Formats: sequence, C-alpha cells, structure tokens
Amino acid sequence: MMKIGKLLVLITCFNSAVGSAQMIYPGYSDSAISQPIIEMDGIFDLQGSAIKREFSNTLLFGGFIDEGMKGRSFEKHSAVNRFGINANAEIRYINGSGGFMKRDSVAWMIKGGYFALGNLIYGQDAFGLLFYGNESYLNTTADFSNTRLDFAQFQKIGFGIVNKKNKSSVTLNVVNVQNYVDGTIRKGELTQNEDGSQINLDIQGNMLATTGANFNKGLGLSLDVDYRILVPWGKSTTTFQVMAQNMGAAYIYNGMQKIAVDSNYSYSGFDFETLTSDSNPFGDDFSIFDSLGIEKRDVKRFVPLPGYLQVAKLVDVTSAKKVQSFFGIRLYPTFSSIPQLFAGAYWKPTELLHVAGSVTYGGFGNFRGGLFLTLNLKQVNWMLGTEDVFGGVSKKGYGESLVTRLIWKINS
Amino acid sequence: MKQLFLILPLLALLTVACKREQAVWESDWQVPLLDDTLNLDKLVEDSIVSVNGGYYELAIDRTIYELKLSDIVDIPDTTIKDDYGFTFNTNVPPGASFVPGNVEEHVIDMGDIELKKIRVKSGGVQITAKSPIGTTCFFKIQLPGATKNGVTLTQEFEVPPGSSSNLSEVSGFVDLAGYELDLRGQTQGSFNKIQSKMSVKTDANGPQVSVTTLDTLRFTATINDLVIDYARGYFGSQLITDTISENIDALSKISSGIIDLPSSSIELELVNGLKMSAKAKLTELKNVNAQQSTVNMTHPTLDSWITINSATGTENSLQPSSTSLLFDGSNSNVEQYLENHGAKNDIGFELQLNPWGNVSGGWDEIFPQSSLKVNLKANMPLAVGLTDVVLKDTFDFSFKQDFTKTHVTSGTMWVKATNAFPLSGVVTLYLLDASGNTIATINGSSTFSSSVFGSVVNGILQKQSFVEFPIAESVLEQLDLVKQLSLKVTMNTPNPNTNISEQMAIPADAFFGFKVGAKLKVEARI
Repeated sequence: MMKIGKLLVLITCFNSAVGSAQMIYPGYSDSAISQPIIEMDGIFDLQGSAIKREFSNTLLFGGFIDEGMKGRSFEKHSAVNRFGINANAEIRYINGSGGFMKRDSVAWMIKGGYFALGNLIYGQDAFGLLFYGNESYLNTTADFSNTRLDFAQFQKIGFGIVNKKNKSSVTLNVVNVQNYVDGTIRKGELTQNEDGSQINLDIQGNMLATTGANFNKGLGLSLDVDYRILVPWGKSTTTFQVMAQNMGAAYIYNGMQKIAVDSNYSYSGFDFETLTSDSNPFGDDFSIFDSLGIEKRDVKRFVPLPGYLQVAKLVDVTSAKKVQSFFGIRLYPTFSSIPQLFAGAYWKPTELLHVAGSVTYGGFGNFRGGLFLTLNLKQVNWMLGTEDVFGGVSKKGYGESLVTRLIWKINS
Repeated sequence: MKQLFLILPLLALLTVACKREQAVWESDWQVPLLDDTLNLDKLVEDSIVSVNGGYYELAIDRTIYELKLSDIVDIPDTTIKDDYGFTFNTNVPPGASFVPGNVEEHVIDMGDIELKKIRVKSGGVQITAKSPIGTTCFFKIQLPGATKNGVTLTQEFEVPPGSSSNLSEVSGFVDLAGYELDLRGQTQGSFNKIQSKMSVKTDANGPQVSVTTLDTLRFTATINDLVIDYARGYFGSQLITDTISENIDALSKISSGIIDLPSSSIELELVNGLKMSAKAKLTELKNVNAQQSTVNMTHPTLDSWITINSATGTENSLQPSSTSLLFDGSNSNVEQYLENHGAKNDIGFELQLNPWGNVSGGWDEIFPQSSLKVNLKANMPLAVGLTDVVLKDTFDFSFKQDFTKTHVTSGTMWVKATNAFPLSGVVTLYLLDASGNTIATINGSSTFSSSVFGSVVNGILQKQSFVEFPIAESVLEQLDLVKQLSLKVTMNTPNPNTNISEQMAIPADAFFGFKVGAKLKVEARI
C-alpha cells in the first residue's frame, strides 16, 4: 500500500500523472498516424553524484534526516558535486484522423505540460555547512565557492503540427512561469577561529528569484521541435530523432528579487554601544542584509526556459527484430549540468510485453542503469520503468527515477 | 478528444490531494554575539577619573547649582499708553506740530528690586500709533535714557489720514538689543522707570484739517520678552529655598552588599560672581540607596548661615569670591555617606541675597558672566572593597521563534573574559515576562575571576575566565514570552591570599574585555 502511495506521490506531487518527453526511454518510429492519439508521459527523477537516495527522498518528501543519513551522504561528496531534479508531465492529443490546412499528410496537435527542473552544483563544504552547521568548520575554512543553483517550475499549453508519416512535429507553446531561481556563489569562504569567536566571510555571488506564492509570475513562448530522420542502419534503416524541447524565454512581469553580494565581512560580535543602540541586533531596525553589504532590488526581465536538446536513435515497435538498440545524448544549454549520454537495448520477447534496459552517464549524476517494461496492446501502449534501478531498490543509490508513458490510439 | 476532457479533471484532483511533510534535520552553529572591552572611560560618563601613582583616583569637579542674572531679575512685559486729546476745536495747517512732546515716565513693576541701569541682550518694544486726523501725520517716539553708543533711541512713524470713526493705524517694532536703559527717571534719583516722549506733526504737503475735542491720538508701546545681560541697582533681599537632587543611575543598580571605601573628602565650593553679598546655609545633605536606606550627612555648618562675600572689580576685571565647605572624616560622616552607595542625593539649601539690605546704595551689579555657583569637588583614591555587592540591571529583549519553521532547540551562551579589574563576579541571567515575572534563571558555570588571581600581561595584572550559560530546550520553548533580560552580578574584591574581600585600588588602564557567543542547536525545517 505504501508503495502505491509513494508511486502516487511521485507522480502527483509534481503536478501530474502523465509523463514528460524528457526521458531516455526511446521513442517509437512505428507505423504512420491514421487515427486520433492521446499520449501521456511523465517522469520523476532525482539524481545526484553524492547524495544518497535515502537523503534526497527525506529531503523532498519529508521526515527526519538523522546523523547517520547525513554522514553516509557527506562522505561520498567530493570537491564538485551535482544534484538534479526533473519532474515533468505532458499530455498530447494528435488529431490523427484528420488533416491540417487541407493537407492530409499533416495532423494538428495540442499539448499541455508541467515541468519542474532543478540543478545544483556544489562543494562538500556547502553540504556540510547546510546540514551540519558552522561548528564543524571551527579553526578552518569552509569553501562553498562555485555553488550554482538553477530551478524552474512552469506549465505550458501548445499547438502544433505532426507529420503523420514520420511523426516529426513542431509546436508553439504559451508558457506560465510559476517559480524561477538562478543563483551563483562565485566565491564563498567562511573562515573561523578555534573557538568560533571570529568569523570571516568572503563572498561574491548573486541570485535572481521569483518571490511569493502566486501561480502566475511570468509568461513566455517556447518551441518544441521533434525532427525524425530515416538513416541507413546496417542492411536496413533506422530512425534518428533530433529533439529540442522548451526552447524559449519568458518575461517575469511579476518581478524578481535580485540579490547581489560582494564583500569581505569580518565579525567577532557587536560592541556594547551597538547592542544598546537603535540598530541593536535584537531590535526591529536591524538588517542582516545591510550588515553583510547585500544589495537587494526588484527587477522585471526575460529569463531563458530550461530547454534541452536531444539526439537519439529510436526503436521501431513494429519491427520484427527481437532486439533493437537505442542511444543518444541530451544537453541542457541553460543549466550547468554536464551532457547526458545514454544507450540501451530494447527486447521484444512477446508482442504483448516488451522490456528495455539502459545505461546513462552524466546529466546531474554518474552512471545509472535503467529498466523499462512495456505493455503493448492493440490500441494502448503503456510503459512503466525507471532510469535508476539501483536507486529504486537500495537506499545506497544516488537517486530515484520513475518514468511512464501511455499511448492510446483511439478508434475513430 | 472527449477522453482528454475526462482525464484533465482527474489530474487536477490528484494534484490538490498532495500535501508534503516537512524535512527536518539538526545542525550545530557557533555565533559570536559581543566583542568589546570596557574600561573606566566607557563606564563613567564624565572624565572624572585621573591617574595617580599607577592607580585611578576619582577627581570630581562639577557645578551642581548656578544662579544667574536671569534667575534674579525678570523684566515683566510692560505696556505704556500715551493718549493725546485735543482740548478745543481748531484747524490744523499743513506742517504743524500739535503735540507738546513732554517726557512721560513709566514704572516697571519688579517688586523690591530697584534697578537703575540695565543693558538689553534681546527683545524690544512693539509700538502702535492711531490717528483720527484727516491728513498724514508723522509720529516721533523717543525713549530718553535708552541709548546705544551715546545715541538716544528715536523712531518715527508715518500714519496715514484717519477719522474719528475710523482711526488710521501704524505698528512697528523697535529692537532694543544692545541698548542701555537708564531707569533713574528724569530726576536721575529714582529707579525702574522708563521715559518716553511723543511728538506729532502733520504733513507739510497735506491739506489743512480740522480737529475737535472728540479726537484723540493714541500711542501704545509694549515691552516684550526683554532679556538683559547687565543690571545695576538693588536686587532685593530675595530668599531662595531649593533642593538639588543628584541622581547617580549606576548606583541605583546596586541592590545589596557592602562597599568599603578609603578615607575620602567632599568639598562644596560657593563661588560668587555677583557684585552683591549673600548668605547661605545647608539645610540637608542626604542620600538614599536602592534599598531605601538613608544616610544624612553630619557637619558643623549644617543649618548655620555662611556669609558669601560680594565679587569685586568691573565687567572686565571681575573677581568672584569663594567660600568652601569641606566634609572629611574629621568633621563629618562622609565615608559612611559614600559607602551607602546612594543613587539619590539631595542637597537642601537656603540662599539669601543682600541679607543686610541695600547697603551698597543701589550699586550692586550683575555682569553677563556673573553667577553664584555651587561646585562639588571630590578627590579620592579609586580603591573599593566589595563584599557580595549585587549589581542588577534589566534590558529589553525580544526573540521570536516559530517552532513550525527552522528554530533553535537548545544552546549555550558562553563568555570569554579577560579581567584587569581587581573584582570577581558571579553572573546570573533572569528571563522575565512582560509583567516582570521570572520565567527562567540561567546560572553561569563559574565565576569571572578577579585580576588578582592572574598574571601580568602587557604591564597589567589580568585573569582570563570562561563561563557558560546553558540554555535548555524548555527555556527556548518559552522564549516568545521573554520581554526583558535581567542581569545580576555579585561582586567581591578578594585578597588573593585570604580570599576575603578588602579594599583594592584600581590600576590605571584596567579593563574588562569580553567575547560573548552562542553555541546553538538548530532544527531546520523545510
């Protein structure tokens, strides 16, 4: 029951029970579209290079992070670590039985989607400071330089056209930005003496973030392009997909808070006069931002959406081959993540049940192995899988992944 | 397409049904709070300490009472009215003078003060002239006896044509600043008299006008807010009875204990810069400490009149007279008085000016720099013996915590002190609610040691202490209720050999350096 609940949470906490296209599971290059199709896909993916699944799971879904849990993740950290979250869902309706603009080879398509993408690059000391406190860094320097956080949460509604024959498509979307964060600490060094009575903070950084709880903070446009190319493959041919998703920008008219700091701050405590003055640290007029020389201002500006580019070899579910390969590469140009490489095998033991396995490297984490099961009925093709098998079965894993895809060919 | 519209509401329902639990973890933080060094310069308001032989001594010299000219003489606001009525009906030709221009005298009521001469520092006369004459008139006002650089004050006003039923009116202000006013009147033998003289002339280019017995020219002069900086005459035999209260806030924080001071003396010096004699007597000299214990000073001169001689010389060569009252161990209980550490000090006195009447024949003088001052002087070694002297002070405090968000669960406040004062102290913190009730008591883990137990560093004896104040979780849970923080310090001046409190001289450059920090366990909730 708990598993089912968790499954539901995994899907619904990120606003969807439907899937996104941002998964490594291969797309199909099957028969031409001739009937209406509803496609839903979704992914919930936590991935880190050092943070254990037990830790990230508790951090995300709640609960107590005990010392053991912190320790097991902390010891795995190195100078540069990555952590990412990718939770998204998309639903598409393709009017496959009709044409578009008097052209029968093209169908129109509408889609809606929810996306939450976050990426964090940080050092071990940043993790240590946040989860252990500064007491662990007495008589030394905690270096949290080169910390970078990107996060975007947005929804989109789009209209596009699909080539019925090869399923290439292009969609123009209107995007609602719900939350957006772009922060960097270029230099961050906290030096303390032995008894913690002297602190020196050398910090340079800036952050741009939406504030408030309102759903709509900005509007924008994005373009989704799915271009499929048939290329020779051995004695046969195969389909390669060049995909660009969420390529666009939004204007945050609701305003963002821009915080910038560039200061070297030495602090050993307030003096007696300050304590008894109007600006005493326990008074209403005291501002920690002023004390640290942090500049805060509200700005309205365009921000890039976290689009991604993917080039991948697809599989053909209608093929007579029992085993097919798939592979590809994915890039997030606006995020500071490394490219993600993936490859796998697609096995059709029966017409009803298909199985795929994958290996990935990069993105927000290191090596991962995935497993996908597909139920292939006459009208419905439903896949459920994970891009991180180890994370799914062991707390020692570095992430968690759940992916699903439903394709429903409707009788017209 | 129909199916699509069935799925969307289901997705929305699932979305709303999701509520996330908080992630919680604990972390340990060290936060410096205070870093300062207190010495006598910071502790004492005025510069009342000096160094003698490597030790501090108290050197107080402050004026606690001052009687100046403005306290003795207050020129009342005075209105002078001068009306001229016509005694017969006549025609007045152009350019005719028709008011005789007699000098009028006006008495300023100042009780038994009889002034012959004053000099105005600020203020003046507001003059109003009203005319019923049907042609332009020129009013000329003179104040004989009011001179500046030898020139008599004269002011002219042009008053437009008026009528009996509708008087024309002109107002003006004559600034008297810098003027010397001879108040002896026309006879030169009187006092408190201002003279005035008015003449009126019609416009030489105007028409001939007729006047009747019903017409009256009206002239009003009002002396307002006159401040003088010199006066000569007789200032009366005023008796001034007053009590000077000197509150020493620092002493009010001592709530109990015994203070032992060395032999000391206090001097009250009466400095008379007024050119008149006076006499004074102390009626009371007492202090009250925080425990409401009162000590009355005893001294042979208490309740006895002391003669205060007149100052001598001129404005430029004034020589004040000086009279001293010394309170020492031989003639008073001054040591007991000081050891009462009374925060409220009352000095009651009576002062009589010119006790023997107008013996100078009206030649008493008060110059701008003249005053009768009472100066308090004290010189004593700053050596003090403290036995369980309790100093208590209360500060406003506010620290709000939301236990559903990131908050402090427990902690310890620590103080690292370097003490160069020969005092030891035990510190206790009391957390008080809005009504002053104690919510929690936090005891320091040890004593802040006296410098006498330390060693010489940089030429001064000093001792380091590390004291912790543990703040339990139960205390932090009530922190929202805390509105005041009360600090209690129990002080002693122990002899390093006997550990018994005795008088300790405070070395020059003594200091109390401290760093205060907090070690906190924080429960983060996101």
